[in-house]
Amino acid sequence: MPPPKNPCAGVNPKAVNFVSANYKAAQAAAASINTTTANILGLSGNESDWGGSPIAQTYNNYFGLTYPYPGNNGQYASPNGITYSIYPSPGFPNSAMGFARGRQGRRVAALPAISPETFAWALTAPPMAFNSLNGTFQAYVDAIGTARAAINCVFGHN
Amino acid sequence: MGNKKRMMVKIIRHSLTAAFFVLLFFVGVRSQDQQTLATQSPQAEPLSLTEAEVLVYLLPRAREVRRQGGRIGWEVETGPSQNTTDFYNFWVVDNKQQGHIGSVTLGYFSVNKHTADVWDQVSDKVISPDEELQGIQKILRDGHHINAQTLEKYRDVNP
Repeated sequence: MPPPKNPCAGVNPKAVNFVSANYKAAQAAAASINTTTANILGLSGNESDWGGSPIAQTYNNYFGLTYPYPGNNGQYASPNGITYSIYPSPGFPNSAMGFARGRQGRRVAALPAISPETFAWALTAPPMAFNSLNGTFQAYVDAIGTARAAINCVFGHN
Repeated sequence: MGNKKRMMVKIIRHSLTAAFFVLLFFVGVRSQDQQTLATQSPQAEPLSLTEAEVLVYLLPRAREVRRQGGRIGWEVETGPSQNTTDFYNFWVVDNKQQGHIGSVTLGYFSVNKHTADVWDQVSDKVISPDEELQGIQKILRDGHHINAQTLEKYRDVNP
């Protein structure tokens, strides 16, 4: 009988650490808008480079939320030319709830299905997309896949 | 007298042969020196930040954003979680979308200073270059004396 497959083999270590640190807060935000924890973690992973981006590390914004987004307590003018919302600590739960309370949260909550593709489509399809840039739909779907693999690695389910 | 002459001829013949071999030896050594000089490649130099910015600007996804009327902006990442020894790290956005409520993130990209490879940080994979990006990478690698050995040495280093 072959040995059981290591569920962490090949999973991005940054994603594993990110999921370990933020699973519970992601679960709460996901429940509030009727979606999956993996969808929230994948979205945030893509928008914050699995929590390693300067905007997440310094300004507690794990979703790339521009200014003004609900729940912010200030603004940060990035050298990249865009102004972002700052969130109070702890950053992940506060910015996740900010995302959930905004227009996009309501859009996700109204979806008839919770698959990664439906979730990513709702956030990237115009009009009034959360992020309509070229390639973002696939980037979200791929990041959600990585988040699911990381959840399986850490908790043994997804 | 005849013997003396034969002896002289023999000595001259041997001297000429010896001189010929000495000449061959020196010609050989010189050509070997020249060969060594020709194959000794100059030291590879790392890319500059500006060159890395050019690579990010010319990424296929960034070009597509510009083609659709967007404008590429970036913030250089230097936080403690970043490998800044071997990479320039960028948070790349479309900054023409001033006032957009949501996200304008195109992605997080890292440029290897030693190889000119571009990584997608989120997927943790090297971006497959299209023809245009490949062309720019070749120009930069040639200009920085980045050869196959250097590529092999640094290709597996992660951002």
